Amino acid sequence: MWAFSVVVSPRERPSPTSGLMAALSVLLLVAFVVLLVSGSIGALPDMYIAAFERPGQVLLVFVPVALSGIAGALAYRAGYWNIGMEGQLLIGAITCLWASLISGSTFVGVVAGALAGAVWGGITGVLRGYAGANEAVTTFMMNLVALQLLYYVSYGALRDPSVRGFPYTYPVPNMVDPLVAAGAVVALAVAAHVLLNYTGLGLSFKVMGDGAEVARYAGIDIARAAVLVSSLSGTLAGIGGALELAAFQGFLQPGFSPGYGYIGIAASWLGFLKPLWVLASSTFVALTYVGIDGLRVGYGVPTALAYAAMGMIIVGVLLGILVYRYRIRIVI
Amino acid sequence: MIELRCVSKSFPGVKALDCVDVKFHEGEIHVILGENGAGKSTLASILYGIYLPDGGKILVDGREASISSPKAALRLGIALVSQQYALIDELTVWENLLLAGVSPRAFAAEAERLGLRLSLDGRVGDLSLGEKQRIEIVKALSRGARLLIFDEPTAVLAPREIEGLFHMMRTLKSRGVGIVLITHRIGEALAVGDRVTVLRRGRVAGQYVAGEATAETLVRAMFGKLVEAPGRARTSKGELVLSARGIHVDGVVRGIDLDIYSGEIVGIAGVVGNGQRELLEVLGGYRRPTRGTIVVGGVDLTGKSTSKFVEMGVSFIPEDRELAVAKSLTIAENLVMRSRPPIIRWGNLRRATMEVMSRLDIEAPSPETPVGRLSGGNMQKVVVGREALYLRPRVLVAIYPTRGLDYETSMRLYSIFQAIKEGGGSIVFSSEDVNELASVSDRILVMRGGKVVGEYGPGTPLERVAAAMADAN
Repeated sequence: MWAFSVVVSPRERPSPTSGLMAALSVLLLVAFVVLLVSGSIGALPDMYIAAFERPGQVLLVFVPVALSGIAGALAYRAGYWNIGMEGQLLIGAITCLWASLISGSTFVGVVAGALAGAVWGGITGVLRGYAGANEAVTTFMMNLVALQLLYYVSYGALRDPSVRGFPYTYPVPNMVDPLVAAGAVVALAVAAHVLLNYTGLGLSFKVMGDGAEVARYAGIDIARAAVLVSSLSGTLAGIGGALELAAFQGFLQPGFSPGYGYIGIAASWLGFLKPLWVLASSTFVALTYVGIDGLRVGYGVPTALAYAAMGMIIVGVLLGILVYRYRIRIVI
Repeated sequence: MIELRCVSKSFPGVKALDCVDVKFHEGEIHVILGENGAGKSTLASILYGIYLPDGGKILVDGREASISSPKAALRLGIALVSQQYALIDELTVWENLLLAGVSPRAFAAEAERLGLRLSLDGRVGDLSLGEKQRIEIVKALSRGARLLIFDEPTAVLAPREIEGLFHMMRTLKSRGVGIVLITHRIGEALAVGDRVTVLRRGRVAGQYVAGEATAETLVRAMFGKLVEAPGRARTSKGELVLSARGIHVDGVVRGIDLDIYSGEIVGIAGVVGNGQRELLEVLGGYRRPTRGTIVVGGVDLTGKSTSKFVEMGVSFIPEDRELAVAKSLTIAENLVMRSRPPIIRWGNLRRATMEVMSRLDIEAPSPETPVGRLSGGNMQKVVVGREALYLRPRVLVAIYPTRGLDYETSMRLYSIFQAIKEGGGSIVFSSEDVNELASVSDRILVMRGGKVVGEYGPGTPLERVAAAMADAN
């Protein structure tokens, strides 16, 4: 019989060598995954070259993932475990379509989508703040509700009868320029960065993330802060969904989001929960996502396997960060 | 039956026990009495095998023994009746017993011998604290314990349950079980103790047999030689800064009126657990009183939020320093964490942080160092730095502000007190050390049983303060 335990302790100061080690092991892992699914190591560079050749496609993924990632960073820094970016994003898109059809202006639609995201997220904040409901559960449940609403508008309420055979909705009245959408993402990341680092409100979120006891001592109204952070987080994700609709897809359908909100969770951790870093991590994630999609086409990798590889790459990078920040020893 | 001979134990910077001699006998209730930090819990931990002593001997039935773990302690017949952690609320009593490796049959037999009716089927979470305590006692006995250690057992109990516990202790005693009762409450020592050992700063300050000790002798042993309070020149009364009326807190604080004037330092004395902490938490805006009003600087703050108190210039150093710092945030962020201006100006904040760091000698690379990286002492200095310096308090409310600080920093803190006072601010604080309290304060209020039972100006013999603290406790 033999037994061992794994001891994980934080590094005093992450060393450059551990950073290099982490980066190398991530690269090896990614290469291994790509080799495994495609059967050729040449697929790795091909994958990213293919991604760079489709910038529009990369932006289409980047915008909702980055905004979900920033939304996640904001919430997680406050210790608010919002995993409902997917639902907030869908509600943002649905409301955007509905409002823009009524008003005839896509801009009004995007604003309405942001508000809807705020409400959708804020509901869970109210439940946590004033009823003590665990937000990891409620935000997830709200995702399921939002998905059903998407089905409802796609198959019924807003279905465009002129598109025969497909559950597609009416399109938005006019499209937003993708570059404008990307610019908005950058601006919102900067805004989130300023909020977290230069305002009393951001500080109160971070204190709350440190612990409820400290927050109480600091005089922070925890329930109110939970409502605020959840609705701000929901706003960002809602804008993500609205822009995805208004700048890229144009109309809704049941497969509108292959899980951008969930991928955003990974992006926010990859970006150290810092809004500006989330821009970088989301770019990486979007490139990988589009690249993997390219593998599907170029190397005949089955779709399901391609998405599984995507998940493994993200897990691999997160592991790399873990290695970078913590000493992991095996004690026998 | 169990004897400690010149047992010592040190922790970095503190001598927790310094050559302590105690004998514990069967069929006897032995009270270990002392203030917080006197070494009581260290003593219990050594008996129970959590710490090994640095020096001295432990004799069990005349033979030298090493108690290296709680298991070893149990083998020698020593058990700790713990207060909180040993039972799992979600499980039934029966399941808890199985989990602890105690035979439910032995448990039931033991309970019957003691004349206790304990159901094994109930969920532990549904039981009262007193019932849980009885289960712990029977559990220990059915494992063959003959010396039971109770560490501050009454802290969590209602008065009726305390009576029940004392009754139980007497029953156990008559059956030959030895009992070690660790407490800071003089009244308890007088009520049940057959023998009382008083600890002060890690040393035995007195040992008494029942009947020999009075409240006053015990207080004197607990607090040491009482020096005369220096007759300090009382500054003329400033204007009224803080006025509290009819403060009540859940039966712990029972109707206190208090006025604090600008430019004075008020010390709150009292044996731990007489409501000082709760009163100061109310004055500091950390806790809402169940009844009563507080006015600061002419503004009624009754029922107002902590932030409102901070805004009105009320600073507060809580007893538990852990909750007064956000460890994942930087020193600078910890300094603004309580005042939180809408916009944080980093240039100014950095400068202010550097100043606080240099005035208190906080050892850290920069204002951006996360507080969690600092040593315990430096973390405390961050709390002091924020409440006493950075926030420029009108009233500083502090619970044991020097606890855990080294001598030099304590002195520095008291000179900051003087500076606040000279600047027209006021301070209300409590301390474990009556001498310290007397040397710093302009007047001392003594609390007992949730009420202020005496107010003493400069030059009062401290014997009188001590007597007021102890009386009829």
